[in-house]
Amino acid sequence: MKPLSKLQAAALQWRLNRCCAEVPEIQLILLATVDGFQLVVAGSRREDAELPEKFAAIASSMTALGEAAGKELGSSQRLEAVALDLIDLLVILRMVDGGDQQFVLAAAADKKIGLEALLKIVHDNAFCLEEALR
Amino acid sequence: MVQEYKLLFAGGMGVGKTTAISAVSEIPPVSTDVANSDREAFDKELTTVTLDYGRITLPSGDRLRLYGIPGQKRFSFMWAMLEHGAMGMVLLADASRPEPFEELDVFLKAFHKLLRTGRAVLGVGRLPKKRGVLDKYVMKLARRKIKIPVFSVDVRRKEDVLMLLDALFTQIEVVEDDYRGGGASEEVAQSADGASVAADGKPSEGSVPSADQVSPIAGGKSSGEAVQSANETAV
Repeated sequence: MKPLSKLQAAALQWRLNRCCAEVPEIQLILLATVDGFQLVVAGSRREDAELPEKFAAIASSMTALGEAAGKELGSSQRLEAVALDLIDLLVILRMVDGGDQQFVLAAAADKKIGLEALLKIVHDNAFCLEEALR
Repeated sequence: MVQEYKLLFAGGMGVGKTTAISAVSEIPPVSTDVANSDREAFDKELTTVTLDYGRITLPSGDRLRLYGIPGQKRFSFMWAMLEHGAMGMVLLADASRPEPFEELDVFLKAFHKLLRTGRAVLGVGRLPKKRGVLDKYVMKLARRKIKIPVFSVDVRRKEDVLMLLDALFTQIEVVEDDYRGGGASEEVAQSADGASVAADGKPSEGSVPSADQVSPIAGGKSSGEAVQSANETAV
């Protein structure tokens, strides 16, 4: 994988920090490689030991499983996003097209934010990250 | 009634779990391979991040469901999920790695409950052409009180993978016979212990497809050869 340039890393970090500052319900948001390496992380839970690392691996696994499930069900469309609706938490995993590489943007938020609102936030951020990654 | 049995393929990144499942599965395997960005750790283009899944239907109609675990340690949270309910395991190792035994140790620790029941086989690939290397693996297992057959394999060859499955079922039959016999040996005690762990794989009369059932799909490799190999290579 091509490593991120310092400028790219700074731009991505700024974007995710701003997202968390504007939306306090977001507990953790990160950009990871499709094979589960965390690249950029923000949110109130970012300091939890090992949590971002595990979240990146889980996000990668879940998106791969979503992609495989789609194929098995006969979908010819590429996977765009996976939503996990937990009791008190919403998790959105969204593919981010970085040109010649794919990434996963994963956000975990308090459920009171609502699925639609979180999806919109993740989509908006994904577009910005895509610009920064190309 | 058609029975389904769950088998695991475990081992480090790049040992050939996906290849092994692809070699024997009767359906196009479900694969969750993605681009590998950890090229320093292992230089291969794709890597499994969730699981591989394949299937074999036995002549009796029973089905073997084959699950390959993701080999990287950061996906170890998947290992316990996939191990749940597994009847047995094919553990794969690559002798050409710089530290092959250290890598193997990770899986011996992670799956020690299943391995100590004896419901497993070890296949070692890319063995150097010198004598006694396989014995080191046998000794390694023995030090951890794991008594399973060890084979030299090339997982690209369908007959090698079928030989491993054949040996695994022979091994499971032996363990179940010991368990039913209620002997007082250490091996039986381990089996009993393991049976309580692998709840879905609980031994019962006729619950395991016999080695003979696997043999007809073994591409001409007889179960006799596999068992003989096991006896030759194991402790």
